Amino acid sequence: MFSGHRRGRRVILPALALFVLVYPMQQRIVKDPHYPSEYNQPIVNIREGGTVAIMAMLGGFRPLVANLLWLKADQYWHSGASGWWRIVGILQTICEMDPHFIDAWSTFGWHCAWNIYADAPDQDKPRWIQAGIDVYKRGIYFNPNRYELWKDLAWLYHDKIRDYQSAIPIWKETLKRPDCPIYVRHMLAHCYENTWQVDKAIAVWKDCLRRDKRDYVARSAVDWWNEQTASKARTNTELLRILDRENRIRKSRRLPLAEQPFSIR
Amino acid sequence: MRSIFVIARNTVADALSRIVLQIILIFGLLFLVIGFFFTFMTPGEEDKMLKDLGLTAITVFGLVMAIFMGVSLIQPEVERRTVYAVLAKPVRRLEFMLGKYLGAVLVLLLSVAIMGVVLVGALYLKQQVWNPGLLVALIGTFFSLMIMTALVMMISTFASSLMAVVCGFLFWSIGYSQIYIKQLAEHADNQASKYLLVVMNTILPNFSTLDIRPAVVDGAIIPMGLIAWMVAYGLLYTTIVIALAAVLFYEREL
Amino acid sequence: MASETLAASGIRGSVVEAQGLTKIYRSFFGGTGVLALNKLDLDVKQGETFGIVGPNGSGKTTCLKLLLGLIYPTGGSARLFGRKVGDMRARRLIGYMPEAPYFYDYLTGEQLLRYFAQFFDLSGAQQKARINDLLNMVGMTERRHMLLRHYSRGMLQRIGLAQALLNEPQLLILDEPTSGLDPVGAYQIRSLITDLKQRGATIILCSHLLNEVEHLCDRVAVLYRGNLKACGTMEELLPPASEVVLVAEGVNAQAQDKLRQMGAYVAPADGLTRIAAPVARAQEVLNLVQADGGILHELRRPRPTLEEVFMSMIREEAE
Repeated sequence: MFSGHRRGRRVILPALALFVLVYPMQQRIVKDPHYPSEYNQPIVNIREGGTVAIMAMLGGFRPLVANLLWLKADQYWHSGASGWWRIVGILQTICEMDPHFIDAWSTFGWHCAWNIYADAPDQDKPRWIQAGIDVYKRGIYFNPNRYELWKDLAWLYHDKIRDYQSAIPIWKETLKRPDCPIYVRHMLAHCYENTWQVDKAIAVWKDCLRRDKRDYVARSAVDWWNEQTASKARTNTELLRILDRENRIRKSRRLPLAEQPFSIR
Repeated sequence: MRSIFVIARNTVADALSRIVLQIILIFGLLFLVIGFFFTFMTPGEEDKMLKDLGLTAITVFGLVMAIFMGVSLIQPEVERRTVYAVLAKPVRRLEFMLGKYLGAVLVLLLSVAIMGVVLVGALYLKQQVWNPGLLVALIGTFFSLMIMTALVMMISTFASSLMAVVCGFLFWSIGYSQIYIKQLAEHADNQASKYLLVVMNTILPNFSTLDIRPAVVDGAIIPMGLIAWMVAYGLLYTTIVIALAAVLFYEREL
Repeated sequence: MASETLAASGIRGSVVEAQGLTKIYRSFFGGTGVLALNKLDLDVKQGETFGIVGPNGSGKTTCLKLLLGLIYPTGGSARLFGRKVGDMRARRLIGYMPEAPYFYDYLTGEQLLRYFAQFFDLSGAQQKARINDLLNMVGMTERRHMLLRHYSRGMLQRIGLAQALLNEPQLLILDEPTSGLDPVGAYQIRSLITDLKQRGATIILCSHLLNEVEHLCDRVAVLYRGNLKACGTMEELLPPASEVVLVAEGVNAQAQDKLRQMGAYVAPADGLTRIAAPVARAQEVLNLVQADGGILHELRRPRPTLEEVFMSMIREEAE
């Protein structure tokens, strides 16, 4: 087959030998903590997108396909309840294709735990709550330093499930993330109030005020608690009646969660 | 050595004179700019979408350019017999090939740089924020395109231009499907299949290794160490492909 | 300027040597293949103009490509200036004009020459001077700034010749230099080749135009279907005829009869008499014609053309 000049053949073996270096070098790169390895995971559950999405995915255009599917999701969003169920598949595909698409994770979790929950039969409702939790947790796994998904998860426990005790550590984690908005600390304080950890609630309110003296919500809360707890030495029962009358706290409700949740990767 | 730079300069001049390449670049720039006239939903989403769209456009048009350049380096010279006059001079085949490749790489670098600057400029006009950090993502893209040009050039030393183009696009897809090959290797039934897939995983290009666009769009700071490793991988793989291309070119009867 | 000399190369007189040079073109998967050149022996001396002739497919271009290292021999070997084919030191001494040259059409004539000049050890000033001289020599000075894509075939041939002469080569290889040219263009190229020959260049001229080769070359190799049919000087290849031809006026019938008796062939026509006689009796014939009062118009000893010799070789081969 190769019948020509032999000069070039001297290079074959050294060139092939260099391949020995290729694999370790690849591994060094993909194992680097700064390397976006989440985009290097195989996608096995493509719910939506079709052939074009697969082709684009194979061409290294996963984020672009995710964006286009996002636009498609918006289209279904406005088509009413019949489109809501299709959106679940699209959002799942988007999150798999682009694990750093925060808005997609946020919308997906919210959609499961609020919208689909409302539409689902009663026996399925707990599973959709759990689905929402799983989505947020998965999103946090890929984006541990983004406050948005921690905040969404905390809010799910706080507002939907009304499991304030479980929400407290999640709010605390949210506060550790950069760019966390001011109201997250307020929510933590409310959680302490709702679980009757008044001292901690007051401490949080005061901390809010210390960080921003113009925080009128914190100012109002601190003043109210100072008024209730200082010098008048009211009993806990009396305080509870006041708090209840003033709608200051919400009792925990604890929506039931599914024993066999949906598997949302 | 001087011959390499002489041929490279000629290759750059040849490429810049070609209407096809100019059209590809213009379309790339238009595509970059046109996305900025549309408004996407919330500002947060818009920022991500514009950056994704821009970087993808540069990759796509850069890929087309890389394949076109790779195909037009050796085969047309042989078909039109312009190579005879050059190789009759004191120019080695390796020098000729390296000169052609270097010229193609320079054209790619120029094109990617122009498109990158236009992207950063368009983002500034839209958002009044400078994002020069986006250009870091293009380093990986550029080295991927370098590997592509080398692969297509290697194929074109012994196959037709059409086959080289088709193989080029196949290599690109394979380069982004390595994760699936690796998964297949992990779940292979027998040892022979496993080893074969591992060998394929090593020999075939892995463009995912050089792709940091999503991280850059997400605002991640990529350390120079990682970039250095990516550059080293790109150069190593390119060197191997060029060496194999040289063997094939030396074997070729002109 | 090429610095190698033949004395330094250690070979006296031979610029090109080929022994048993063979080329078989095989397909990718092997197989019997096509025999393009079969055990060719060549020896081109310094300063001679050597022609390689043959019909299409005879192996002429294959031979040139083997000498230039563009293709590789299946058997045999060749040396240029005593060095192996492909040696850069030998390559620096060669100028090559390919058949129907095609160059980078986005360049002008001058830019093309400057591009090729950069491959040699010439300074900027030397390159400039050399390019000016060559453009003048090939008559392209006025069109130096014209893009090659607008060049006619003849202009491309001339630029092709110019680029082959950039390094003042000691060996000039020309492949079909007048191919496709009109008579004026062909004449101009031939004049240039003659001029180079007179300057002492060693030239290998490859052509299927036999009359051109016959006039320009000192020695010729005749190829047919890859085989060397004949090789030698014009005198060796084209022996003069064994008879003389006279054309005379006023040869009467009596004289004509006497000439026939001497064994000559006599053919009167239009007042003139054409006489063909064996060389040995040429003087006798001349004396008889003059004694008879005939006026001699023409006396010559014809020899066959290269084309005639070549066609007879082909016919023999076919039989």
